[in-house]
Amino acid sequence: MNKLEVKIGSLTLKNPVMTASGTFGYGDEYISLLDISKLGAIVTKTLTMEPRAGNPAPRIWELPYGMLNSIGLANIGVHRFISEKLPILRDYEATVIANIASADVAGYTEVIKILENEKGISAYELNVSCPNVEKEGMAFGADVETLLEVTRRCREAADKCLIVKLTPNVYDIGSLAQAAVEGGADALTVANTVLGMAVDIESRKPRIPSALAGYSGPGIKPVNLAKLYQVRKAVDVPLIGCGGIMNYRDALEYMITGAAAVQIGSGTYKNPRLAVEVIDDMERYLNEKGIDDIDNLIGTMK
Amino acid sequence: MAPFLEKAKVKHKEEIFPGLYIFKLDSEIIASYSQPGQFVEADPGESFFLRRPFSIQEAEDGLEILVKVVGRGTAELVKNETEWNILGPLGRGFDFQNLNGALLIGGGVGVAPLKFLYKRMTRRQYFRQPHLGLDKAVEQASFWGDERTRIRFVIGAKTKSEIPIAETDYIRQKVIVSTDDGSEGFRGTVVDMLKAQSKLWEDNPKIYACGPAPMLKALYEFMLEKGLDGQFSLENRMACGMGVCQGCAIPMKNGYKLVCKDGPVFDFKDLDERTWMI
Repeated sequence: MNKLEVKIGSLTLKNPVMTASGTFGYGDEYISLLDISKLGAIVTKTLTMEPRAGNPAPRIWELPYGMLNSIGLANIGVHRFISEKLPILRDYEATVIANIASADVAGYTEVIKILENEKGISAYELNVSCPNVEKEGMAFGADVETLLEVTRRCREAADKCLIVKLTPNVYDIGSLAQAAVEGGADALTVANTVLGMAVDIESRKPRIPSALAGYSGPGIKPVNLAKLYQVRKAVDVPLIGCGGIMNYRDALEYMITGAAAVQIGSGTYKNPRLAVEVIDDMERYLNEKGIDDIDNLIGTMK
Repeated sequence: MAPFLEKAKVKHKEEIFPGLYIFKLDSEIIASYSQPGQFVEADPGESFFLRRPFSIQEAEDGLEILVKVVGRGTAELVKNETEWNILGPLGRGFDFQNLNGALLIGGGVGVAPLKFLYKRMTRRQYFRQPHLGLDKAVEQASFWGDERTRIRFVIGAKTKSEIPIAETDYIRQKVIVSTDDGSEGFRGTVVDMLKAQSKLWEDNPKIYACGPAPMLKALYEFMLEKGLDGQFSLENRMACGMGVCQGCAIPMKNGYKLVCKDGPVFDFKDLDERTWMI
């Protein structure tokens, strides 16, 4: 029996450790560094219908407890993903979750329709929260009605497991979680990057041209963990914890709080093997504690 | 298939001048796959969120890099005299096939990838000129400013004490030096020297350059004016180092390119005015 196996809606994962969208490319980049089939799932870089060049440079800024990014959903587009990347991921037997975004509701469903019949994709994760895209991305995830609408339309288009990745940059994340579930989400990822900013006091310019950026790294773990706690109280679907995970202890905090799975994000940049190390350490932890099934750990916060 | 992660023991550390160090790391797999122009990313340790990129200066006997202390991360790294956690080799290196004359231009620590390039160029020369015989070839490989091969190496530094190569080396190996204050070699920038000494480039060598952005920008404009071609190695802040995060994008003629993956070496014809604006 695989004690790390978890269920996310209709999806059974060999372990609860995924790589977060945007921090693991399309997965094939890491083949020389780790066995990508070992991962619970690879969540792809956000895919849009058309390729996107991304935001003006500079796009990143390092901070003491993480980094700011404003990439602008730079990606190769869904068609090139299918022709160039998906066959490799299938060959390596990776479990793949396609993260998707669009400027309008119809665009989400169009991308889903294109992916729906492709073998090798296990689920969709809707990016409704990327704070880098000035209008569209922010609006979907921050407004109850819009989020309900986009989730419902995607649910109608998708037979595969549907995950909505929430933004933490809202006051009442519970209401938004409820909207996504009402719209038909099988699971929720909690959460995307936290809105952040930095200024150069010499030039008096923001470090990122658009000023506002996404903050990731260990600095946001308490923030997103609190969001997951709030979402756990608001809805009853499986949750995927994301934000600032740098080791198995961080991952377990999310799981004890109520996450059925976790995503490793920008921690991968420093340690490309972080996700597989978390899997190994998690298994060791279960063995040491005499826990024979990780389900017996999820949501057991006292 | 690269890249690889390696824990590499420090074989040798030397402070060339205050704030600039040579590190020789006991790398096997990364060194064996490294090509001139490629780089590694080193982990400065627990207090830092991202790795730091360094050009490979030498990969014959372990991995040699030049480390300039420019901030807290590099200051922390140079204290590490035991074992470095490195990821590499990363990026696209220099293209030096079918060479017909080359002018290597390094500014400051930008010399590092060009030293590696020069070594490989002269090694290629040995294979291309078998009539030289082994002894001749070895001798030739030790001379950087060889007129027969028309491979010339130019280094620019602020002042003599900041030339990132030992004095005996650059004199013996005929490196052409310019210093901003004239304390060694030509007085002025490397581009000033090119303007003053047209014999360095009038036979239309392929130009390979690496150095600070102001130097590369001036060189870019000079090359445009003179119709010269070549390749530039650029730098940028980066996170993943392998084309994943898209963080190190810079504007080029045909849109954004990633310094870590599409570069760090770019063809001169792909550079653009906007490249220098970030």
